[in-house]
Amino acid sequence: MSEIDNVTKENMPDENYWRGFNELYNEPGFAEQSGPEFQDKVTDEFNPEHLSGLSRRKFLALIGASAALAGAGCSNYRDKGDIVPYNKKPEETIPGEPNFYASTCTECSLACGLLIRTREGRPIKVDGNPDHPVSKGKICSRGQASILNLYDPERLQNPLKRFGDVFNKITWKNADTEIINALNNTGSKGIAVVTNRIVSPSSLNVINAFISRYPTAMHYSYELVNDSIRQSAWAKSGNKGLFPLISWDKAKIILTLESDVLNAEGELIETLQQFAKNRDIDKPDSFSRLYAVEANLSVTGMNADYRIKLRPDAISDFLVLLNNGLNGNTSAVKNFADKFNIKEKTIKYLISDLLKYKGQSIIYAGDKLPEQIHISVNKLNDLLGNDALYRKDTEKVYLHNLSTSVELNRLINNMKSGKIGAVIHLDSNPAFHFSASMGYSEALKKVPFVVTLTESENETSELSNYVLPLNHQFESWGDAQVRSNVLSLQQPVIQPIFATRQKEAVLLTWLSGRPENYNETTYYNYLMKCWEQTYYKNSGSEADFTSYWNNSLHDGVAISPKKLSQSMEVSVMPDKSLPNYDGNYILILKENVLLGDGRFANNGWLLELPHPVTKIVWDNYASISAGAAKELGVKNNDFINISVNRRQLKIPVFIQPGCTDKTITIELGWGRKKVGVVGTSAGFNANDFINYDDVFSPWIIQNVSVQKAGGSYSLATTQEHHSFDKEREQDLHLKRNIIREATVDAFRKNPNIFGEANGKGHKTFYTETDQLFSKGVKWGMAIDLNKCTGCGACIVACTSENNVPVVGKEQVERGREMHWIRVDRYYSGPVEEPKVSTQVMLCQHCDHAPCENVCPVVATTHSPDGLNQMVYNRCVGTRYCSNNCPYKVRRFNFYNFRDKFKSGYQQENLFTLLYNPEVTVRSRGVMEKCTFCIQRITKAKQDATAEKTEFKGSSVRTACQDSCITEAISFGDQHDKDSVIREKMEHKLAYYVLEELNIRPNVAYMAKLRNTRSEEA
Amino acid sequence: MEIENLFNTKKIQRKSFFIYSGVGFLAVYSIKNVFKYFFAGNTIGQNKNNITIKLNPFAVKRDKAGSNNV
Repeated sequence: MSEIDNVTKENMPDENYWRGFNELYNEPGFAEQSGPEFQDKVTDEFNPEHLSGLSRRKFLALIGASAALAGAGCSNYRDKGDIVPYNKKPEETIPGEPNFYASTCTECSLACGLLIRTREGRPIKVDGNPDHPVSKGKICSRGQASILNLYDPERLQNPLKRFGDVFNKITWKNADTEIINALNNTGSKGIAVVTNRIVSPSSLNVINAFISRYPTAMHYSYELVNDSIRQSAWAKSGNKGLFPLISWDKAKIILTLESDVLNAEGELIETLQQFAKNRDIDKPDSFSRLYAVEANLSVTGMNADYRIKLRPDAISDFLVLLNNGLNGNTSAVKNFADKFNIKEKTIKYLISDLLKYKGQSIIYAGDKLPEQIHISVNKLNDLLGNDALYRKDTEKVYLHNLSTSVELNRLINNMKSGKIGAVIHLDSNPAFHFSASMGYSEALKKVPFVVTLTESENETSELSNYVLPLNHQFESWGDAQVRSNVLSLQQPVIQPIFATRQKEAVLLTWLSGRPENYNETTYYNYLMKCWEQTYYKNSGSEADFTSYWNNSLHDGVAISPKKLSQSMEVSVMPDKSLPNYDGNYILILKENVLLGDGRFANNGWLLELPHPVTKIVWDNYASISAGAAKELGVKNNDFINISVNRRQLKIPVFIQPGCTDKTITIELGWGRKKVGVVGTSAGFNANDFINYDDVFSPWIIQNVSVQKAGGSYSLATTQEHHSFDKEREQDLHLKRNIIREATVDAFRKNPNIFGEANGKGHKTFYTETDQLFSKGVKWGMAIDLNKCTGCGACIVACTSENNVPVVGKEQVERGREMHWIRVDRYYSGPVEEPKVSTQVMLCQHCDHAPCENVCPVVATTHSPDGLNQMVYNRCVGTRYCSNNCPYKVRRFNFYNFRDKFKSGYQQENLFTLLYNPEVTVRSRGVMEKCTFCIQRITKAKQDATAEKTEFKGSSVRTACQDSCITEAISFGDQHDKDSVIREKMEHKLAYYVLEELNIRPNVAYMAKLRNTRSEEA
Repeated sequence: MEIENLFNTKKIQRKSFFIYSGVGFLAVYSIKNVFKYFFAGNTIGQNKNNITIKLNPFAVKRDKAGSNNV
């Protein structure tokens, strides 16, 4: 029975409300429970000792104190140290004033002249040396970025010795002593000295002295990609000396065969400067016509007037066709064109142009092509009288021959068989560069004594017994000779930051046999002595040697009226028969213009610099055509497996417009395994495919097998953020006049080809703006699209000058790259044969800037001299300005990238020495953009005031302008009637991007003229 | 009354409070500044080197910058 059943009328409780059954039935104990406030045993047996010792008051007091201490202790404030004035000021240093030093770049074998700017003793910017007769004040992107390697926190700082599997520090004295003993105890076993190409005569003297000291020693040298084939072919064509330099500025017709001569091959700086001379819009009659024959789109192909898409193994047939055509027989042209899907008329134009401009044209075969093709090209040039373009005023010089593949293989076999007692790597990395199938790394493990001298750890140092740290080029003395009458000098602009030494000084110490003989001037004295005994004597200078020496150091170069030395005899390659075109997959290996042979693999600036053609960053890839992708069943980012003989590589695909079918192009220098945190996991190593015994070419491999592999990889590109759909996007740059193009012929016939569409006809309500800028200086920039090749040197220069951070691959994938200047690349026309246009884009400093009106805190303003200014400490990061910018040139610091990228890599003590003190280092949440190098403008104004001279706009050169090899960028005062910028802005070809928006940009572009036949238009 | 006894026995002196706080602050501050080079929290670990910049006494600077005026 339930309790409810027990309820009767007699025991029914009060009709008032009841809270529970206890109350309802008036249960016993309920009254006692509900009566008193405190139940039993709550307060009766109260014992204070049972309470915890912590009262509320005490708890609150301790919490408050802890919070205060935690706040004080957990501050993120980085102590930047004190600023103190000089106690003893160095004579050469004025705080706040830069010093300049001339030197020579030794990052490749071109040895360009450098001008290094230093502040308070530390180098902060690198440019070209204007006094250097070869490079004439310009350097490439690698030269610009080389300063980053000086401040790489992961540089080797001390000598290391292997103990088992680990490397421990060792003193130089101990290292030298042990190495000298080991070298003296090699007995009859060989000693191999392995280097890259040596361009320094003094260095070569030291190496030769070392070789003489140890009779079993031999010097081996190599380059990842070299021109040995060209030189051998030149010798076999019956010529003496090296292949001559070309006068590109005298060439009316240029035909390149699988040669990226405007970006990655040959005398890059000189070629670009000479090529640009014939792209002068003020001299349309002097325009050259460039035909590029290539399999994959390159920078040369992008800038060509006519591009012929052809595989390298079909080039020999093409040359036969050309030869017949030049002799009047064009019957085979149509069949050839049909077979290789080329326009027949293009080939006929080429033949006709070569005949018309005999003696004013040049056919140039790429370094990678086989010898027979080079020999045929030499014959064709002779036939056409093009030897008139071979330079006679100067010659290229190689101080020594590179080792042949036979010699290198012999070295490796000797290493394997125990005949080599010691191997010394002088700033070389053969364990990475050599193909794995050569077995160098395995052979090295069998050598009892291996020493590697290097700036940073690499694959070769990992296999060594001793790793000795080298000076950076800015810490080194040296010289370089790459021309018969020009000798460059290299001087240190900073004392070695760490316990590093020069390789020549190390060798000299070993030669002396006494480690205590070393001092900081060991090589300096040796170099001076070499110069005094050779070049000074031959110079005919009337000054004493000290004046001659100081003068040469000041200029960075010594020019001799006569030939300084004879180049070596070229080593000729054994004859090979050329295989025919077979239609199978072919693999082309190219040197990467950004990383070189891989030595810049830890350089964030170059890793993040968009590839000039693909705009991909942080990786390499296999470029294939859309047709090949369809055949393989792959799309962008899918992996493919490439295999030839027993070599294999799994690499992601990038579908490249303008690529021949069944051609795969991969750039070398990527995929380093032993590199710093920045370069780790960047790219894929294709060095294994280099085969010096290949029948075609070491860098062009036939009969390659390709299959789709599983999985995909994310390739980051800066060009394809926020792509529109196809219909809206196609040829958009032409429809909206972002790029304006015409032909040279059309321009010649009608200079007003674009009408008055350069902003002059636009009416405005805002006449006050015009009056505002009508007086004083008004800064403007002009970019000549005819001269710009899209190389990207301006991007690196701007990054270096303005302390722009590296953001990393993941952030670039989100569109957050921080480059203030970019090079946009547009395709037009069909995917198989696109026309390419490049355009440099930066802040246009608009008079009616749409970004300025929308800033809620007035962080972006306009100066009286026409600059769109950015006030970093006002900016709160709404990003409205970037939203409004039609050019999308504003960059937002989504993070403090110096802190975020690779765990604070860019905040290391050493790295921070790189920053330009004239430019604010921006933090998180702040918008930034091109400032037209306002720090340079301000400095020029201050100098003019101090010197009491008139301030002229021509005294200011922006970083991008200085770095542009072809001088495509002009900058200055638009109000100065005599200025170059005024002339350019009033040019018939000048136009503004998106000028219909009436925002009055101050960057004018010179429309691109393609030198195609008028019947093509 | 028992409650008052409780607070009397565990009473925190104001003076002691400030002394202990000050000592604690100094302890944390010292630990942070003396050992910050070891606990910098980065993977490179080069912070502890003091870098000295020295000029090379034999280098010859240019008296003008050439095409670079700044």
